[in-house]
Amino acid sequence: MPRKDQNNPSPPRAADRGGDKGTKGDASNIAQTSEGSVISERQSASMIASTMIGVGVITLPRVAVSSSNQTGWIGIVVGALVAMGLTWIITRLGIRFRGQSIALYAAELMAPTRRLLWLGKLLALPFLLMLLVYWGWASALVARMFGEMVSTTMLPTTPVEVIILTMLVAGFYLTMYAVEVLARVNEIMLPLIVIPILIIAVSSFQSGRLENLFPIFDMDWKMFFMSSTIMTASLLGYEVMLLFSAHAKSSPKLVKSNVFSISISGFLYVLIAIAGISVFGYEELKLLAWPTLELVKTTEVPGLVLERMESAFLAVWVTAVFTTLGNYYYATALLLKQILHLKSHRLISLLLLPAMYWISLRPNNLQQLFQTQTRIGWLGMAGALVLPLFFGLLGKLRGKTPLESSTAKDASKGEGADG
Amino acid sequence: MRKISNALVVLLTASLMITGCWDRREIEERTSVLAIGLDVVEDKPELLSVSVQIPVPLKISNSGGGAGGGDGAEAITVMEAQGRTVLEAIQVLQNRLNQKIFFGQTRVLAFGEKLARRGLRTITDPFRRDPEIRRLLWPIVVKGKASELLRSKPSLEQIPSVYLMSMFDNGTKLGTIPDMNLGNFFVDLSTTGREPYLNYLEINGHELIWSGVALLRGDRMVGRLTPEETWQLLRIDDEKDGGDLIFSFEGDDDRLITLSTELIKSRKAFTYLQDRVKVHYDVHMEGNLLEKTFGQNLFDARDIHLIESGANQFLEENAKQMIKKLQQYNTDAMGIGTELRAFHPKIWKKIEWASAFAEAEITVSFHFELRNTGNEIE
Repeated sequence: MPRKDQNNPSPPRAADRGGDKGTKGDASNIAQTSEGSVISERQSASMIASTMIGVGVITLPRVAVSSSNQTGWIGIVVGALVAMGLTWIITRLGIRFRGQSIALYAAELMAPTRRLLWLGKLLALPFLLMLLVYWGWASALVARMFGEMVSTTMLPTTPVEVIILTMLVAGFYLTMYAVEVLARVNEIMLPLIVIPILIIAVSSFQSGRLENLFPIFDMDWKMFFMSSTIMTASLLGYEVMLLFSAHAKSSPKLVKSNVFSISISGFLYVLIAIAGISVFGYEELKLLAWPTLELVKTTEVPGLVLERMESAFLAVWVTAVFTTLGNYYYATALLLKQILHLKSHRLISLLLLPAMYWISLRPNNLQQLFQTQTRIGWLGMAGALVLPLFFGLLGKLRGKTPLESSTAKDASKGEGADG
Repeated sequence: MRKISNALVVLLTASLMITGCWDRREIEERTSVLAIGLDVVEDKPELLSVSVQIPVPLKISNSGGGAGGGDGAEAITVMEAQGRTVLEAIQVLQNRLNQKIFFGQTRVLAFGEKLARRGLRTITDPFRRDPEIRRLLWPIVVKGKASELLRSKPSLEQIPSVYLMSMFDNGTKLGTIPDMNLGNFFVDLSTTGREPYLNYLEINGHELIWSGVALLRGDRMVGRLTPEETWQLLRIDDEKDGGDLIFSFEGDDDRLITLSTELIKSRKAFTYLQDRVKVHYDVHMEGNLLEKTFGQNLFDARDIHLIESGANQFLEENAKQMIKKLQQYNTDAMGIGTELRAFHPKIWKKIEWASAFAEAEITVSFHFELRNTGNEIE
């Protein structure tokens, strides 16, 4: 692997320079983008969707019923709507501050005047750290969840450490490449993830019972909010666009395609949850550690020769986990690079590897792992909710005269901000 | 020099990548268990008896028909062990075996009736946890001892589990045997408003006879339904065909009629009156005349009507008997509770189903339509 790395450094670096020249020109104080605007609308949409669809799929039906019984899937719909709104804000912010990521425009929006940009950076730092901790922690936990699940159900004698390390190294390998490569990987992987999960969800409906889904609106407001919050947290992933939108091609269709991508993963999640609830009923679901896998086990896909579908499903699931882990890992490294103003994120990425491995082994058992996951989910949710809302609002309040945007920088050179 | 070191790196990396995995276990390194039987130990109530049916690959005759052709007796071996828990007994079995026991091929999980009456929840716990166990295998309650089922020798197949499996697969396809696999059993066990039931088997010499279902309350067997009653349950609750109807025409025991049942549609209506739940099922079905034991021509509209009403009467009486049994054992095998909870939450919240089920008024009316009286023209 290191060999490969040595062979390949030139293309990204070239893109690096080219990108800087192309989009920034005179912006010498902000050497922000490393690869330029290379992500197409479709790639950006698939990045969002495949980051969202990850390890969560395997526990989703149980998480969905945990707080609101058979009505759990409604929370997912609400969660998806919230995610759509936030994605809309994130994309709009990305378009407005074209070529800049959150690390940069947060500082700009927070700085009272042009000269006090360092203050803005300082003020923005807690927000960025929140994202950083969430992304780093989440990628470690994704690897651990994957390891636990594989070692309890498929490979009982393989050490979980080996599985985790394999997954992390694969993610690390992905971060060695440019953002463009990451985007293309996501674009290719997404159909490979979506189609099999769709087939499984649809074909498991044949053993479902309608009465398990009723009564549909049997919940009070507390349950509704609880379940919506939990499901919003489980639909995280779109917030990587806070960072990667800096590399997205500016296109009028970007907002539409990004918001649409949420509906892909939202639809898939709702389908899986409804399938799980209708087949097992919420009481049985609460007893299952890996409900989606059990769903696959009870399902006989018509027209397929294979009797044991779970192996095939897990193979698909590996790609889903890989894209989530890879995207989070990449985002962690890239954000850290931008905070520290480094030239390349590769060294950071290498240094992150043992750190993530260590974090992933911290929970002692499955129960603790699920707890940590929930806690990190809250942090991520706070990040994904607060950042777009706060900066979106701030951007709105500061109106048409931000400190500088890459286009109107020269015009507003001298302390343009009025309040 | 550099070339060599490069090659070395490649080789080393490759050797890391192609070592295979920890869990590699070839098929001949496994002892596949086809069926598990669980029984009580007569004189020691704290112990469980676990028996496993293991196929002997060398003895299974395929083509050729040479050595042990008809002698299916040796194709399997049954081992039995005792322990305080299921896994303890399996541990004892493992100590007697040369290869690792493998449950991935297990198709039948048999419980002795005595054990079933004692409760199944704790006993099925290891089967919930073990990822090797499939949710599609068949849990069965056996009259007498489960180990006898494992030792039985049906003459049509060398391996009794394979025989049982095809019997159940075909039965569920035809709609005569309830599709009660382990997954469904677990679901029913944890669902409030539906009590589980399990297929019930009798052994007569070397014959295996499906004889209805064992009814459970909670996780304990409390009674059983005959095959005819089970078919009513299937028709009313699952819209499955069930077996043929055989009843006497116009109440005359010498004149018997056999009808098939098809295209069953079951509708139900709930009402709540004077603190009592009323459930009414309307079951429509069609069928053909398959057999009659008398020479009368039956092409009259009046006769056809008589056959139909005779069938309805027979079905209704049979269903009444079945429902009476369910209420007597207080076990809601039809899942009326789940329907009530799902579609009539207002009623559900007012009542305590555990006690309300036995008092509920459950009625069924059948509407049989004779479609065809056969090819015979007299």
